[in-house]
Amino acid sequence: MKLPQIEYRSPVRLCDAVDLLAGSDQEAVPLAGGQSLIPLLAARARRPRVLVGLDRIDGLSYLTTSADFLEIGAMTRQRTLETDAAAAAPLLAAAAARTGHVSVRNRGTLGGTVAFAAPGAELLTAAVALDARLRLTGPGGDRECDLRSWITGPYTTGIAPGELVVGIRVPLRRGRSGQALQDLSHPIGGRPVACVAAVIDAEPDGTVRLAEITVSSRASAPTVVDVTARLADAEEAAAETVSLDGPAIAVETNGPPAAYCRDAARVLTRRALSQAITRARLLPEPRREVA
Amino acid sequence: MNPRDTGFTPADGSATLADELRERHGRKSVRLGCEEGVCGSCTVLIDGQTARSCTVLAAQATGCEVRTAEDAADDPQLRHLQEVFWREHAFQCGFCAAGILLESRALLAENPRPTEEQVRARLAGNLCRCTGYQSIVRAVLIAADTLAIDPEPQPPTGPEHEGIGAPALRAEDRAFLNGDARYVGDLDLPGMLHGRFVRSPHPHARITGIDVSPALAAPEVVAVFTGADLAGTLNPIVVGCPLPGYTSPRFAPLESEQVRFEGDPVALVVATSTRAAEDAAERVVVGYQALDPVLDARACAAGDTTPLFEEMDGNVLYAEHRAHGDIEAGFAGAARVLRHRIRQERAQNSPLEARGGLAAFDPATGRLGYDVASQSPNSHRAFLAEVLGLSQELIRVRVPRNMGGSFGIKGGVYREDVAVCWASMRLGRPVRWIEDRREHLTAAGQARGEEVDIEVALDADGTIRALRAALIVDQGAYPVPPIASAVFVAIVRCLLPNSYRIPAYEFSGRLVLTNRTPYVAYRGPWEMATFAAERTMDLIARELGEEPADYRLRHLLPVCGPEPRTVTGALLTDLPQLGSTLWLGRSEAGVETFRKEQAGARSEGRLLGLGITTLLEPAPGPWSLSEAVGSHMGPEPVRLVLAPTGRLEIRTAQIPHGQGHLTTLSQIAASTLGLPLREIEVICGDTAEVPYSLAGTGASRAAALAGGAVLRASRRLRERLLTAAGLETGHPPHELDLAAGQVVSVANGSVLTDLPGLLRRHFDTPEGRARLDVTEVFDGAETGWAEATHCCWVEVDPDLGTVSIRRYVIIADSGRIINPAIADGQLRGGAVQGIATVLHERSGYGSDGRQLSTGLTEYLLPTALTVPDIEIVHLDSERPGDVPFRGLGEGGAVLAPSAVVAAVEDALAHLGIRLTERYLPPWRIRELLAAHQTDTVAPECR
Repeated sequence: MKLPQIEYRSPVRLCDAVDLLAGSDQEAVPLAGGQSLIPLLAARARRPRVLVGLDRIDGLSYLTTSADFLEIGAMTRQRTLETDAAAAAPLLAAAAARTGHVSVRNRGTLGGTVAFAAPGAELLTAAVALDARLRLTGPGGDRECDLRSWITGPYTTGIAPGELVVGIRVPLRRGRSGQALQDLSHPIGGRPVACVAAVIDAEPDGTVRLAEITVSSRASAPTVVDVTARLADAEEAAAETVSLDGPAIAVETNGPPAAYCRDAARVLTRRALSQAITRARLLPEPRREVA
Repeated sequence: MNPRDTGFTPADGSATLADELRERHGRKSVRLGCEEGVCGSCTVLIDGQTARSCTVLAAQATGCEVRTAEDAADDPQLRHLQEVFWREHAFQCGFCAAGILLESRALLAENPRPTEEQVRARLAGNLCRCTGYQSIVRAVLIAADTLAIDPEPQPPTGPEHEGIGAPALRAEDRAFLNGDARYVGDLDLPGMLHGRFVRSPHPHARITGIDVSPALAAPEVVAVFTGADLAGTLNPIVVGCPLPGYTSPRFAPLESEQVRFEGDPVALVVATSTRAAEDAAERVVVGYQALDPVLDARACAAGDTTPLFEEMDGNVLYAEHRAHGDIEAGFAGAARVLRHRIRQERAQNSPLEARGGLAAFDPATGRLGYDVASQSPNSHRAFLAEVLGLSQELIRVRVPRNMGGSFGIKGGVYREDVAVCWASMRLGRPVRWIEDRREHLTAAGQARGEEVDIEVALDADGTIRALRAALIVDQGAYPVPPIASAVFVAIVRCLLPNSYRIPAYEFSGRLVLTNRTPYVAYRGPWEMATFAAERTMDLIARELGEEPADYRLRHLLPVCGPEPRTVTGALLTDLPQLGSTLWLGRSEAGVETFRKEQAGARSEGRLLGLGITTLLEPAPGPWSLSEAVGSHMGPEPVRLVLAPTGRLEIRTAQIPHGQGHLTTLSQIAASTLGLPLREIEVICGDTAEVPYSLAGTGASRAAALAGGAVLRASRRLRERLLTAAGLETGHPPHELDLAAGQVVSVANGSVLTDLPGLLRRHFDTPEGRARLDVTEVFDGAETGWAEATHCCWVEVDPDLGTVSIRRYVIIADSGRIINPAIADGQLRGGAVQGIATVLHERSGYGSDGRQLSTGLTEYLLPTALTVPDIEIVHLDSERPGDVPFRGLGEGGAVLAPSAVVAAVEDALAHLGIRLTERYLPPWRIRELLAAHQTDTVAPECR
C-alpha cells in the first residue's frame, strides 16, 4: 500500500520540531529513521496529519564519551552504534548488530528504537540493561529520566505530548564487569522471540557485587531482575517476567506463543548469565569481548 | 542520479523514495515486493549505504546521492557483480536481483573479502523466492575473489558448447541485471487508471448494504463498482471439471450479498493513481452482519455444516472412492494394522511479485487487451471470453516480458482479472491492478492444508498387504478456474502409493468449501500424497524397529516385465531404473556411520537425526497416469520457423518466469540444428503469437513436452536441411551434420557449405519458407517419470526446539539434463520452499477464521540464513523413446517436507515422539519434548 497524503516538515532547529509536535495535538509525529513508522503509515495503522522529520536537525547524531557516561544522540543510526560503539559499550554494539538487517540499521536510529519500545528489541534491551538515562526535550523544557522506569510496557513509554527523545547517557562501568547478550529470533535472523542481557559487576577478588538480568520478548517489554542474591534461581525469576497473557501477544498468533517466549527467556538467561560470569571473572579487560 | 536536482514538491511529502524513483525517474529496477520494509527488492544506495526505499520518504533523501541498478554504467564494481551473477546463474525470475546486486555492492565496498557467513548474514534481509540463495551467495564470493585480482569487469563468457547438457548462460538475465526488465507493475499506458479492491474484513458475513458515495466524492476517483453494477452484464463464474461428480458453485467477481473469506472482494475503486484508489477504497462503507465461520473441513465433509452457497446442498464439491486389488482380504489377513491421521498446515506460493494485470479495452474495435502475470495466457483468454461474453478472437492476452515468480498461483484465472477487464470495458480506458502484499497473502490463494487418514495392513514380517487412505482437501471459499481442485484430489489418489509395491489400495477423497482463502495449486500440488506416503513408511519402519531406508527399499515397485504399472494403473516403462536414487541415497547417507554418531551425540544430550525420503515424480507423467487421474492437460505444441538468414524462432505456449525456458528450449534446437544460441529467439506469452494450448506452464511440462516438441521439430528441420545439402554436395544425408551454422562431413568434420548459403539457395521461396515453418505437437504419451531421493541431516536444540539442517543431499534422475546450472537451481529452489513449510512458513488462521499471516513479518519466507547448502547428484538415466528430457521443477518442493520431518522425527524418536504433522516451529518441538519424557534429555552442557 501507498502512504496517504501526509504533510512532511523537516525543521532544522530542535525547538521548531518541538513546536510542531506540541502544537498539533497528536496529529504530528516525529519521523526518525522511519523503519517501523513508515510501514505502519503505509498499512494505514497510524494516521498522523504531519510528519516532523528529524534528519536535518543538527546535533542529534553523536557518540561521545564523558567522564561517567557514553553519550549517544537520538539520531545516531543503529549501524553507527554497531560499528563505532564497540569499545565504549560493547553490549550496545552487539545489540545493534542483532537489530534487523544492515539496510535497516543504516536508517534506523537509537532514538526511534527507544521511543517505539517494541517488545523484544535488542538495542532497547541492552540500553535498559546498562541502566541508561534518557534525555528528552519538550514544550516544558529539557528533562532527564531513567530509561528503565520510562518504558512502561510493550510499545508504551512515559513520553509526554510534544516530547522528543534527544539522546541517552549510558553509565560507564568501573572495575570488573561482565556483560552478555543472548537473543533468539524466528527464523534465524528474523524477528526477535526473546532477548536477554546479563550484566555482572564483580569486586576485584571476583565476588559478584551486582547481577542483573534484563529480559524482553515478543510478549513483554524489557524488565530488569536483580539476581545478585539468587543466582541459582535466576532463570525462573527471569522467565516469570514474560507475561503469558500480556497485551503484546495475541492469544492466537502465527508466531511463537507467550509460553514459548518464556521457555526461550529461561534458556537465554542461563546462557547469558554463564557468559557474563565467565567474562567478569576471567577476562582481564571485561568489556572488550561481549556477545 | 541526484534527487537534489529533481525538485520534490511539498504535495508529495509522503511519497516514498521507491515510488518517486519508479514513477518520476523511471527507475523501474526498484521493485515493490512488499511495501512493508521486509523483502528488500526496493533496496537502493543512499550516499553509498543501502536502504529499503519503501521505508524512506523521497523528501528524506533530498540532497543525497541515490543510486540504483540503472547506474551500473558508471560503476565498475556494480558491472562486475552483474557479470558474475550472470555467469554463475545466480537468479531465476530476477525480481529480487537489483536489490541483491546493490546490497552485495555495498558489502564488497565495506568488506572486499567477506566469508560465506558474512555474505549470508548481509543478504538475509533480501528475499529471493526462487533460488534458495546458494547460487547468489556463491556469486558474491566469486565476485569478491575476481575483483581482488582484476577490478575491471570482464564480459562473461559462456561455455564453448551451448547445446544440450551445457550450463549455457541464460538469455533471461541480462535485462533484470541491468534494470531493463519489465514486470506487470512496470507497464503503463496513456490515460491508464488504477484499480483497488475493497475486501471483506470478515471470514463470513452477510452484506447489509454498500455505500460508495463517500468514495466517489474522493479526489481523483473515476468510478466505484460493486456486484450490483456487474449483475446481468457477465456470465457467472463456473469451474468446469472432467471428473464426474464435481459441482461448482456459480459466483461473480464481486460479492454483493455474502462474503465468504477475509479478503473476499466486494467493490472495485478506479482512480487516477494507486494512492487515490487506496484512499478512496477506505471510504467505501460496507455494512456486514457477521456469520459464524465454517472452518472445520472434516465437518464439511461429513455434511454437518450450513452450505456456503445457497444453491448447493452442502459444502462438498467433490467426492470420489476407488479401490484396486483385494482390499478386504488385505486387511482381513493382516498380522497388524497401523492407523495415522496425517495433516498439514496451509502454506503459500508467495512469489515476490504478487498478482497484477493491465486491461485495455478499445471501444472503437471492441477488442480487449489484457497484460497479466499468468502461467497460461490462453487459459486466461478462454476464461475471460466465457465470463465477459466476448469472442476469444477479440481478446489478446499477453504476459509481460518478465514475471516475478509464480509457483502455481499465477496458473489461476481470478475474479480480480474479470473485474479489471470489465472495468476497462465499462470505462473505455486502460485499468491496471497491482496487488499489494497483504492482499496477496490473504486473498490471492493458499495451498496445502490437507488431511489424510492412513490405514495400513502388514504381514508378520512387516510387508505391506493393503493400504487405505481418506483425504480431505479444503478448497476454501471459492474454486479457482481453470482447474477444479477435484483433479488434485485424483492426482493425490494416483501418487500416494509413490514408488512402493502396495498390492491392494483403497482411496476416498473429498473436496470441501470452508470460509478460508481459496485453495490453489502450489509447486507439486500432490505434495500431500508424497508426505503421507513417506510419513507412513517411516512410521511403519519405526514400529518394526527397521532402518527406514531399508524398509522402503524392500517395497520398491518391480519394473521388470513388459508392462510394469503402479497400483493405480500408470505405466512405468519410462523408468527402468526405478529405485536407483534411493539405493544411492542409502549409500551416500552412510546410515551405519550416522547411527554411531547419533548415539554418541545422544549421550551428550545432543539430538541428531537423518531422514531419507524418495519420490516417484510425474514429470509430467505418461498418459496412463492422466487416464488414471481422469483428466489430461493435453499435448504441447511448438512452432519453429527458420528464416533463410539462418535465424530460428521458437514459438511456445510455455511462459518462463524463472525457469529459463528461453535458454533451455534454445539449447535443444541449437544442438539439433548446429546453431549458435544468439541465432535463436524464443517467442512466448502472447495469445496472438504462439501456438494454442490451454495448459501453459505448469505440471512440469516445459522440459519433457515443450522440450520434446522442440527436439522433434528441430529434427524435422534438420532432415530437410541435410536432404538439401546432400542433394547439393552429393553426400548421403546421414554422412552430414550441422555445426556452428555450417554443414559438415560426419567423417572428417570438413565444412561442405555454410547454412545461410544453403538456405538462400534452396529455401528462399514461398514453398521453401513453408518447409522451414514446422509445427510439432508432442504428447509424451509413454514418457514422463522422474525420481528423486532427499537425504537430510538435522540437529534439534533440546532447550529451544530449533532445528538446524546440517547437511542436505538431493539425488535426482530427471532424464537427460538440458542445462545443469538451471536444473540445479530448480531442484534447490524447490527444496528450499519445501523445507520452509516445515520450519517456518504457515498460513495461519485463528479459531474465529481471522487470518494470522497478513504480512511478510508473519508469513516467514526463507532467507539466506535459514537455508542449507544443497548438494546435488544427477543420475541422468537413459530413457526409452526419442525424447530424453524430464521435468524437475516440482519434485524439490514435494519431497523436501517429508525428508525434513523424517529427520526431525529421527532425532526425537528415542523419546517416543512420532510425527504426523508437517509444520514444526521451535515451539511445537518444545511442546513435543515436554510431552515426552523430557527427563531423558540431558541438560545442556554448560
